[in-house]
Amino acid sequence: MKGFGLGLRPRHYEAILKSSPRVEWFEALSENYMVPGGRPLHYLTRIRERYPVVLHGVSLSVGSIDSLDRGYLAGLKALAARVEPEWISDHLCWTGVGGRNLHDLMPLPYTEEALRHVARRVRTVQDFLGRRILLENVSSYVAYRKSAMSEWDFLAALARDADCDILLDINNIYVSAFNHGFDPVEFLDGIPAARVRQIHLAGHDNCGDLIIDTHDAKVIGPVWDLYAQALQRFGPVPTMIERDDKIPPLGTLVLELDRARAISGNVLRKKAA
Amino acid sequence: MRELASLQLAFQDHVYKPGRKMERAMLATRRASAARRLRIYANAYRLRLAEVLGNDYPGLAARLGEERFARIVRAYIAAHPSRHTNLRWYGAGLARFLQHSSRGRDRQALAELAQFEWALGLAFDAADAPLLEVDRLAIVPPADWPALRFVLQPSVQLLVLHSNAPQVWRTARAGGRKIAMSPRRTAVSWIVWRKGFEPCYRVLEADEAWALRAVKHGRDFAQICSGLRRFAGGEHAAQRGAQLLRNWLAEGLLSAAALTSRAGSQGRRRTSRTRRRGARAGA
Ligand SMILES: [Fe+2]
Repeated sequence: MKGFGLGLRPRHYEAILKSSPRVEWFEALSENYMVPGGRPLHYLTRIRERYPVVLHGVSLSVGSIDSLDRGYLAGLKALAARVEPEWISDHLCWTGVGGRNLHDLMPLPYTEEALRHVARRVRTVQDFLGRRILLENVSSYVAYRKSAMSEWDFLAALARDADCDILLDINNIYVSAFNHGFDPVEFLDGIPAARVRQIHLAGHDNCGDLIIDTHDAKVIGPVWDLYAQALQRFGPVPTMIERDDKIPPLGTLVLELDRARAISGNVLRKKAA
Repeated sequence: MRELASLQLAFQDHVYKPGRKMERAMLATRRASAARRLRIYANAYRLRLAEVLGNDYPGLAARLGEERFARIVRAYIAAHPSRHTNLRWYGAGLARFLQHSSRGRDRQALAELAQFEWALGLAFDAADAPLLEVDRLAIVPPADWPALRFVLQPSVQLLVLHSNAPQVWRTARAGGRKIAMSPRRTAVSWIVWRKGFEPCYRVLEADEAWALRAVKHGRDFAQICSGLRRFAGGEHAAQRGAQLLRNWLAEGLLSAAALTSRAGSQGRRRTSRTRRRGARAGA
């Protein structure tokens, strides 16, 4: 799968079917369609007839010390059988322990112990789903004193040890770099190019002391610049804009996506020359 | 996994009940202390769940007004750590919570308002099922009718309410003037289901409510008609049964999945076996 995509959002269902926007693919949030029936599955099915779709989840909790949620995995596998996504992704994080759920992408301590634990679980998930998954770097506001390596070293080691792929969220790199004071380019340099299958772009909220990742605004200039640097390093990677809140009309996002197309065109032309 | 486990448990506890312990496990910078950083997770947790409840209960929220709804939501979140993988189900306990935990004379009516609104939500994404069509029934031989069993389509829910919750919900959603929430002396039955993509609802007469429950419990058409005698009197019961059935078909309440009658299903099985044998003979 190639090109540029958008996150599939309910308020755009009708517009997508009516206008067939020039978008190469859509990313559907798995949990929104892990319901018995009705409108969500109806629209997903109809949109899937016209566009490739990838599935993006938030509930795998691959980093948790709880045992894997087999019910969730079975639901995800059933959804995948129905949607036939190009790939399935979730986040490098944990979402709760002790049978409880914080419904948030909680950061992990980057330790050898955590790496072994997560790698084992990723392999189990991949065996169960019968395919490789992509894991995405999250925005974070805390860093554990116990961490013994950088986030990018952890992600790179995980991709190697678990044989999984990577979804890079350029905005999240920018946010975490600001919040923890690291160089975002160093992050990019630490990621193995062959593992990067997809890129997310998004906006955020800068509070001055910290950046809160809200995914509710336009992509800002420095994140576009970082995107250009990512393409410089990784070559062409399927890219999408991810807007979770204050969602504008479909046409607005299609236009914002044009900026990604333009940047990608520029970078790759220069790279080829 | 000892270190990872203790960090996750402590962090989760911190989200539920912020304290100083977790701060020591996190790095601080000149710009932002560990406390400030951790607060983002604690706040985000409450905001996220509150948003979900607001989306699930817009009618209740409109009825209560922003402040009172926010107060109830805060109390619910404090009392209900999520145990769901999917946020879709987090609000399931709100009606119960209102009934048992809220004070105020209107708590019974508010609980029913929440119960009713949750039922609409369940109807929204209930399983799809092909609907029973009139044509399908038309080919049932008259002799098979008494033993016919119907199946309600998956979105159908039967509610018994002691208040005017559906009317209160409708005016609240329409932004109309507040109508009084009145407890009724007698219970009234309602049906909630999905037609196309839209949840809908209506009140049920006592005999129809009884008949729908009978369908749900697997009674056959003869049993339903005879039960209706209690309401309609002997000779009108069969007529009323037929009328209800017509309405249910028109409203899409019945599923095509499992129309069964003992005689009918045997008949079908016989035919298919004969056909198969015939096919083999021809090949
Ligand atoms: Fe993302």
